[in-house]
Amino acid sequence: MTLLLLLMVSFIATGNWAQERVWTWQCQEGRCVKQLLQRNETPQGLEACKLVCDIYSTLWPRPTGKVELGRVLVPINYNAITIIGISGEGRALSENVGQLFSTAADNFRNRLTTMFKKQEQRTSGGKSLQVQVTIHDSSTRTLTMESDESYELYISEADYSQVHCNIVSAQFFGANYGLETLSQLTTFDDAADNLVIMRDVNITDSPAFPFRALVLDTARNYFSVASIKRTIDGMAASKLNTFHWHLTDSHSFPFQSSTYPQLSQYGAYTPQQIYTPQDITSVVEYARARGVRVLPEFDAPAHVGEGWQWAGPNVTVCVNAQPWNKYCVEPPCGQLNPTNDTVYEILGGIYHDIFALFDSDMFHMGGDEVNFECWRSSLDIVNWMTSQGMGQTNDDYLQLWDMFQKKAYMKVVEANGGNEIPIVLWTSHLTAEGAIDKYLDNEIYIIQIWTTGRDAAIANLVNKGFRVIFSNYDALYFDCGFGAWVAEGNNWCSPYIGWHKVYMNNPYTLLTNLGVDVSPGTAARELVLGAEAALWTEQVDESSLDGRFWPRAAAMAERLWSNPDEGWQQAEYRMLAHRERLVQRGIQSEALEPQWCYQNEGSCPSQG
Amino acid sequence: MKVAYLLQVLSAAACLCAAEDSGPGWQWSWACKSGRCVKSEYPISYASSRGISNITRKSQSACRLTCGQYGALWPHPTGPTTIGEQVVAFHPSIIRFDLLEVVDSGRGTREYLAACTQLFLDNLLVECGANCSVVSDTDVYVRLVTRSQDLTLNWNTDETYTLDIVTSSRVNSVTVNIRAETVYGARHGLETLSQLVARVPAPLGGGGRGHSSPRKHLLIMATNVRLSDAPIFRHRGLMLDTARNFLPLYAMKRTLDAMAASKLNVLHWHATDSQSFPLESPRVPQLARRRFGAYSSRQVYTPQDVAYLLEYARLRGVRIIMELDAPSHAGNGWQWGEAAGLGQLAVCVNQQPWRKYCIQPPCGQLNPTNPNLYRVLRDLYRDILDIFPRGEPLHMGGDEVYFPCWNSSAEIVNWMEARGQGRGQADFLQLWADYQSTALGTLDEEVGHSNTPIILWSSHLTEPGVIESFLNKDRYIIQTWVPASSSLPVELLAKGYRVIYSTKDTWYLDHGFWGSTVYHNWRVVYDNRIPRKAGVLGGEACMWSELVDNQSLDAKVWPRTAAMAERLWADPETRSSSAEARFYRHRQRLVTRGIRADAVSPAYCYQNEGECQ
Repeated sequence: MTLLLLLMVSFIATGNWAQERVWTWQCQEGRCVKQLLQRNETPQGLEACKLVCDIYSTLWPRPTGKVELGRVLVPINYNAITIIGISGEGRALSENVGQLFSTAADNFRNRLTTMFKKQEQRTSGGKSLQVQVTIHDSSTRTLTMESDESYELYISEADYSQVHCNIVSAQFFGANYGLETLSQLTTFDDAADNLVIMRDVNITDSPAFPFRALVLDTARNYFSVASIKRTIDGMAASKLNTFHWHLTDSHSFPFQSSTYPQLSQYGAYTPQQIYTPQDITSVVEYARARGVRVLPEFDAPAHVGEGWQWAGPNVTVCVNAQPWNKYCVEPPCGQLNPTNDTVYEILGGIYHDIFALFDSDMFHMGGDEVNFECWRSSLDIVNWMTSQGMGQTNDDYLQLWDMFQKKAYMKVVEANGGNEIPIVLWTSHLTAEGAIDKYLDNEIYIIQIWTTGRDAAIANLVNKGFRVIFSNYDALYFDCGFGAWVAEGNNWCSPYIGWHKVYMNNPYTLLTNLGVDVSPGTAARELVLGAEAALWTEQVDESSLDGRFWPRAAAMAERLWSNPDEGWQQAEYRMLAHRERLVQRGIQSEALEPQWCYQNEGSCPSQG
Repeated sequence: MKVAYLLQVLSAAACLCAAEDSGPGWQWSWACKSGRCVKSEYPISYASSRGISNITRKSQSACRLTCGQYGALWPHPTGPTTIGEQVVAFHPSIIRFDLLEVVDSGRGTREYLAACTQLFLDNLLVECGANCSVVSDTDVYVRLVTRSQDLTLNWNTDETYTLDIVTSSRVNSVTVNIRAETVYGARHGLETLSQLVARVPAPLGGGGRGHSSPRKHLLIMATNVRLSDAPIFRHRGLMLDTARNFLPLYAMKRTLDAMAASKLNVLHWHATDSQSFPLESPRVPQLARRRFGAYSSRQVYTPQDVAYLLEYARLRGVRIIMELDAPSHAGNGWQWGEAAGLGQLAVCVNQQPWRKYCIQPPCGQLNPTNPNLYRVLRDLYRDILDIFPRGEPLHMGGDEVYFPCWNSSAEIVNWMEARGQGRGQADFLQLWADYQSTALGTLDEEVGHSNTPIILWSSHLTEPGVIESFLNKDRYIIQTWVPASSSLPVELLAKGYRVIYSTKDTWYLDHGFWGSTVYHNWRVVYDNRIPRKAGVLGGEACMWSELVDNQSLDAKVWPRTAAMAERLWADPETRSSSAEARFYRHRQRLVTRGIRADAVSPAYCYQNEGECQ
C-alpha cells in the first residue's frame, strides 16, 4: 500500500516543473502565507502575492501621501511600453530636462529588464503600457536644498488593450522618483509567467527630509568609478539624493587635480587608482540623471598626508610620523601647516578644480579630527605662533585652526566665482559649545554630527541656529563591527549595526530626547536637513562595498523619506523585498534572513 | 658562464620591476629591508638599470615575492625554506611540464596532475592579467615527481612535497622540481609555485610606447628556491550551510578555488536544515525536487551537480564531506509523509510559537518512532553513496536536538509510554541515541560494512559523562563547537575520541551580526591555537548562512578562513602580527582570482609594511 502510494507520488514528480508546483501564496491579513496548492487551484507566485498584499505593496520607501492601491495585477507586454515626457503646457520637454528624462526612461526600462530570469520571458503577452510623465519646471537640472522632489502617480486600466500611467511632478527629480515607484509596482510573476503591473493606483509622495545621503571614503581604499555608479543605482532605487564623496585622506590622494597633478602622482595608490576629471564628470552626470547630488569633500587641515610630498618643506607636518598615536587617530598621520602660505595656494588650486567639475549647492570642508600634538611637534608652527604673540595652549591652537578655516574658506569662495556657498563641517573641537559661537557663522556652516545620537552637543548646535546633518555613529557608521586594523580586538565603534537600528534612527526623536522642541512649525525642525550613512573604508574595498551599504542604507532611506511613526516590524517584509530588488539590479546586498523567512512572512524571529 | 647568464636575466628583471606601475610621474619603489618591503621616494631609472644593484628598487609585488623568510607564500611552508632574491622573467605559455616521473600504471595519477597543471596555468594567466606579454625567451621546466598511485584523499593522505627552483647551466632555462609522495602533495607544490610568481610590466618596446597603448605585463619567478613542506593538521576545513540560504554552484566553486589557494582540504557541506532541503534525491524526490523542501525549482543540487562539485574539489586537493543533519534541524522537505501514507516523518514542522519547540524558526525534528522514517533515510543514504567515494565519512549532524519538540508529539509520547519509558531528559536522550544507532545501522547495511567514519556535532549526546554509553569512539568523530575556554575537546580526546575543532568564539564566521555575538577578525582567527595531540584531526571554520547568501559569502568567509588555513597548515609559534604582510598579499591574490574577499586594512598598510601597528 505504502509502496503503491510512493510510486504514485514519484509518477507525479516526473512531470515538468509547471505541473510540479507544490506551493502557492495567499494574502492573509497583510501577509503572504505559503500553502499547499490544491487541485485545480490557480497558483499565485510569491512576488505577485507580495505586490498586492502589504498595505504599502513592496514600495520602498513607502509613500508619504495618498496611497490607494488597486491590488489587482494586470499582465503587460514588455515590448509594448511607451514613455513620454511633456511639459506643464503639454508640449515637448525642453532640451535641458528632456535629456535627463530620456535617461530616466531608459533606466526604467532597464529596471524592468532585470526582472526577467530568461530572455524568452520578455516576449510574453499582455497589455501595452502607456506612461505619460508631466514635468512642470522645464529648466531645473541641478538638485538643491530647495528642489521639489514630490510626484503624483496614477495607474488605471483604461481599456482592454492598454494600461495607462500618469506621473505629474514639479521638477525632474519627482518625475524620476515616480518612475522608480512605477517600476516597484511591477514584477515578473513566475506563476503566471508574465510581467505584471498593479492597476487602479493613486499615489502622492514627497520626502520628509530634504537631505538623504551616503558618504563613501575613496582614500583609505580605492573604489572604481563602476562601483561608485553601482552605489548611486542603489541610492536611486531607495530615493536617496546625495552622494557625499570623501575624496582624499592622509592615506591616499586619488583625485587628479588639473592644477597640481603632482598630488595624485605622489598620492594615488597606483597610477591607475585615480579619479580623472572625466571620471568625475561621468559620475556627476550619472548621478544627476538619477536625482542624486554629488557633494565633494576635501578634508582639511587634518586627514592629509600622502600626495603632498612634493610641495616642499613645512607645507604638511607630521606626515607618517611614528609612533602615530601621539599625533593622529590612525596611521598615517599628517596635517596641513596653517602658517604656510603655500598651503592656501595649493588649496586654491584644488578647490578651483573641484568647483570646475562638481555641481553641488554646498561644499564639504571636512574639519575632522585635528590633532594639536601634530602641530605642536612642528618647530615651524611653534615659532610662527610665538612670533604672533600666541601661546601654546589648546585655545591658541583652536585659534590657529580657526585662522586656517577662514583663509581656506576665502579660497573656496574664490573658486566659486566669488560667491558664498554653504559649507559642511564634521563635528569637532571647533564646533563644540563655547568654540562654535566664536568661530563659525550659522549662515554659512552646516554641521554634520558624528557623535552618538545622545550627545548633548547636538542640542547646542540646533539651539545656536546651525543646520545639522545626522551621521551619529551609533546608528549610521556602517564600517563598525569589524576587526581593528591597528590594534587587537574589533574596531572602535563595534558592534555591527543591524538594519533595525538604522531604521529607528529618527533625527527628530534624537533631538526631542535631548530636550529640543522640533514639533512641526518650529524653527529647530527646519534646521534638521536630514541624515547620512557613512562608510569609512579602512576595512572595505570594492570587493565588499555593496554588502556594507546595502540594504542598511535603504533602511535609512525609508526613515528619511517616509519617517514612519511605526517601528521596523511593519517594514520587515518590504525590506526583504527591497533587498531582493537591489540584488536583482546587480547590487550585492547583504542577506538579512534565511530565504525561508522571505517565503514565510511573519514566522521569523524578531531580533531588532 | 652561469653567473654571466644570471646577471643578464637579472638585469632584464630589474628593468621590468622598475617599470611596474610606471605612469606619468609615478614616484615610488620598494626595497626589502630586514624582511619588510619599504616604500621610498625614488624615481626608478629602469632604462639605465644594469646588473644586480638596481634590483633593490622594485615594484611592491616583486619586492614581496622574495622578501622575508617566506616571501609571499600562504600558508608558509613548515620545512626549511630558502627563497633567493633573484628573479627571472617568463611567460606562462612557455612553461613545460614533465610528468614522466609521475608513477602511473593506468590509475589516473598522471591525468590528475595534468589537470592540476592546467589549473596552475589558469592561475598564472589570471595573475598576469589582460595584456599578458609574450616577451620572454626563458624556458621554464616544471618537473613533477610522485611515487604513490593512490588517489584517495582522506585523513591519511600524505600531503608533503618539496620544491626547488634552479637555474640550469643551459642558457635561459629554469627548472622547477616538485617531489611528492602523492598527487595531492604535488598539487600543493604547484599551488606554492604559483605563489612564487608575481606580475610585472613587460619591457618597453624598441619603438617606444604611445600613451594610449595598454601596458603589457609578464611574470617573474623567484629563483634559488628550496623548500619542503607538510601540513601540521590533516583536517583543514570550511563548512558551508546551503539550507538557511541557498548557494548556487558557482558560489561553491569560487569557494573551492579559494580553499585550494589556501591549501585547505575539506569542504564540509551542511546541505540541509529545517529551513530548506535543496539536495535532490532521486529515490526520494519529494524532499527537494518537488519543492517540498527546496526554495524554488532552481535552488536545488542535482546528483549531477554534486558529482561535478566532488570532482571540481578533488582537482583542487579538497574533499567534500556531506552532512545530513538529523534528527533535529530537519523540517521543510519532510512534510509529505502523511499524504504519502508513511505517517509523520517529522514533527513540529514550522510550529509556532517557535521558541517553545526549537532554537530558531522554523522548527522541525525527525520522528524517530516512525519506522518509515528509516526507509526514507535508507533511500537517501543510497543516493549519497551512489555519488560519494566509498569510505568517505558522513556527517550525521546531531546538532541541537530539542526535547520539547518531541515531547509535544502525541505519537512520540505514546510510543515511549508503550515501552514503559518516562518523559524525562534521560528518556529523550535515550530516544535520540536509539535514533542515532538505528540510522547508523541503516547506513551500514547500505554500505555493506561498519567502518564508515561518522562525524557528529558536540551535543548532550557527546557530554563526557554519557558519550561512552551512546557513541563508539572508533566510529564517531566529534566536531566540537564550544568556546576556546571549554575543556570538552580535551576531555573527549582523553576518552579516545577523535576531535575536529570548530572553536565557536574564533572560527564561527557568522558571529558579529546577530544577538550578542562578536565578530572574529582575522587576527583572532589566526591566533586560535588547537592542541597538537593524537586524535586532533584539525579544525573547521563554519559559515552558518542565516545572514549570508551568494551576495556576501566571499566577504564573510575570506580572507578570514585563509588565516585559519595557515594556523592549521603551519601552526606557527608566532602570532598574526608577524604574518601581516604575507596575509595582505594573499588577500590580494584571492581577489585577483575572482574571490570578493573582504578588505582588512587600508591599501596604505599593504604598501607600507609595518606602519599600521
